[in-house]
Amino acid sequence: MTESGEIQNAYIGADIFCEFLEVAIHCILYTRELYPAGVFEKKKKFNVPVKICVHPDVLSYVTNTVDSIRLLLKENAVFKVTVVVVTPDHKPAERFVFEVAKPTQNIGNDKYLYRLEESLRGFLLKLSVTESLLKPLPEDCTWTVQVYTKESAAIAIEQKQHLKDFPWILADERETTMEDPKMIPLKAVNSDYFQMQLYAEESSIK
Amino acid sequence: MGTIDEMYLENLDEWVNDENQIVTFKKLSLALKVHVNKAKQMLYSFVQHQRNNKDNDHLFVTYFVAGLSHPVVGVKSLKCMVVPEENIEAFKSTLSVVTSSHIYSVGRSKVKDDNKLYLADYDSIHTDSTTNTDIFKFSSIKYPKAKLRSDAEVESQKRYRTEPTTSKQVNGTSKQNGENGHISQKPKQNGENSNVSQKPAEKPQKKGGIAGMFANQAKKTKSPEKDPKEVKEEHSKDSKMNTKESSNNKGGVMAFFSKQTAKANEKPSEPVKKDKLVKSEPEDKQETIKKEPSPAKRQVPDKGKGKRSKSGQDSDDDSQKKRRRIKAVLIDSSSEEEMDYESPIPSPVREQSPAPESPVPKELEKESPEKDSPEKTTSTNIGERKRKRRRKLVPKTFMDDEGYMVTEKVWESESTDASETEPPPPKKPQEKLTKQQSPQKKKASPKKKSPPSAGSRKQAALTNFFKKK
Repeated sequence: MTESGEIQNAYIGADIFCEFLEVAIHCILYTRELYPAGVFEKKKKFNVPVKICVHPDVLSYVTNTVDSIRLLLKENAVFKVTVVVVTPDHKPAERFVFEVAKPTQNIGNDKYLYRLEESLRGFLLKLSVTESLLKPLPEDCTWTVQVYTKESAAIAIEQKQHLKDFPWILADERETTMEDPKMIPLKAVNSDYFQMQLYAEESSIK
Repeated sequence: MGTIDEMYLENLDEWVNDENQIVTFKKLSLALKVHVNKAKQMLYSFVQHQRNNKDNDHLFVTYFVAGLSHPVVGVKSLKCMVVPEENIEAFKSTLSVVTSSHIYSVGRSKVKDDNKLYLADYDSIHTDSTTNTDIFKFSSIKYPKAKLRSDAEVESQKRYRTEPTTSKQVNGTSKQNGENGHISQKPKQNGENSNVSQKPAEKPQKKGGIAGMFANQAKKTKSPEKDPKEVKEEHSKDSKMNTKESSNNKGGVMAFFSKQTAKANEKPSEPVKKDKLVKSEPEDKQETIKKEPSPAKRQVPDKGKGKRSKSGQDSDDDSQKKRRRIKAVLIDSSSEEEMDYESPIPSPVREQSPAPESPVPKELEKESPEKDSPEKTTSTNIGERKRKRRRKLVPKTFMDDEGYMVTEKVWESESTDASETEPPPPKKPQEKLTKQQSPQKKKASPKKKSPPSAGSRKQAALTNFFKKK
């Protein structure tokens, strides 16, 4: 494919990943019971019902987060996105890590994205059954989203996001390092548009 | 048979405990190719085995319970619910008669909502329905009178479903048959329409939607300026739409054409573009191509006319016209003169003003004197030396088609230097432009009359020179 085709592919991949990320974040919020189940409403994505939080602040926070990640993805500057559940002591209790990478191959046989949709459905299913694998969370946990990116891109995004009134800040060390983590691989996908791997990390101290 | 029975236990063990999957009885029956009842029994024995022999209490089991409820207002209803194990007794007590109760799913994680269950067997159930006949082979819900549709019937159904309004009705009826139906409407024990059968239906629906969108736009943007014949042809062809790809390609070609004409005149080109996007037959393409340049040609004279009318309007408007003329005249002059009256206007103005003037002389002659008048007035208003551009009736001699020498009087634009400040100009600037235009017109008519006197040509030229004001 020509360069422009590759760039197009990258844009498409960024869009698809961001759509999936938004739903996945809501799914994590629901399954880990970070918000009461009552605020979640059933909506449809990838042809299956998903639970989305309807609280406006949460919704706007997730949307803005995903938008900024989309900007970074278009510049191919994102290594991984993590949704971190933080205990009241500001220590990460568990992490859901989405590792993203450029696609390695260009098979081109997934013209209507059926296979990609299928694999994303699998991701959602895996996310919802993780609670059997993870230990229960302590009470009053909070959550945050961290993005691992290049420094130049981070500076660029800071300037852009100030305009949108949604600033990103450098994450604290204490919120990034996990004590005694245990890794649980969940799922991986390799499509024409992006490569993604999802795994969970759990701290033994909870 | 013994080996098969044992194997399923191992399989289930692997799926549930190692892979952490939620296994529904439907998924199990499809995977092991057994009847659903057998699958249910398998699940049950697996649970028993795990709990009793292996002390595995981490299994979460859901049950499917159906029965007649207690009469409410004299009405008994059949309720079917998927309930977690804890609630099974509570739910059973609400029913007067329990008609069926069996395991629905087994898994390690707690099932708080139906999303997970739906997701768990979605992929295995929604595989290609035309090749995967297992799902009704192993199902116990059967309707003997339902027959498999032939391919011809399926094709006619698909075409029928391309119209979006009627497709809803078709889907509605298919839902009723869904419980007992066969391949064309995928059966599900819950009675819902499967996504696979809807996928081919959705595509023509979508295409119908897109094509319908174009058709709607074509109808909406129908403008009175367009040829009524063309529009009628378009609408008759709308109904005959078949292939969408060809129309898309033509849309691209037509869009290219319409872009070129859009600059000239937007309104007629838009309905042209949209109407043409709807076409499907190749003959029509040629017709439309022929018609496309003709509106383009029509639009060129429109363009000229439009510009002329604009210039006519501008002649009434003092300041703009004045500025343009002044700048045009200024830049033409090679001599260095004081330019203290107007702020400099960018050069494109100068380029534009000669351009409209050149097509103008080709057309009507009526407006030309009007043009000359403001030019003269502006130049005289200032009363300084500058180059003038004028239109003059000049006799031209040339060879005719038949080989005769012909002399004709032709209006030609000519630029000359202003000779000196003339006494009339200082008085005139205070008068209105319209008043000045009328004397100009009068002078224009004597101008036309004077050239026929060929003998006094030179003198006529000189007098004209003095007369112009």
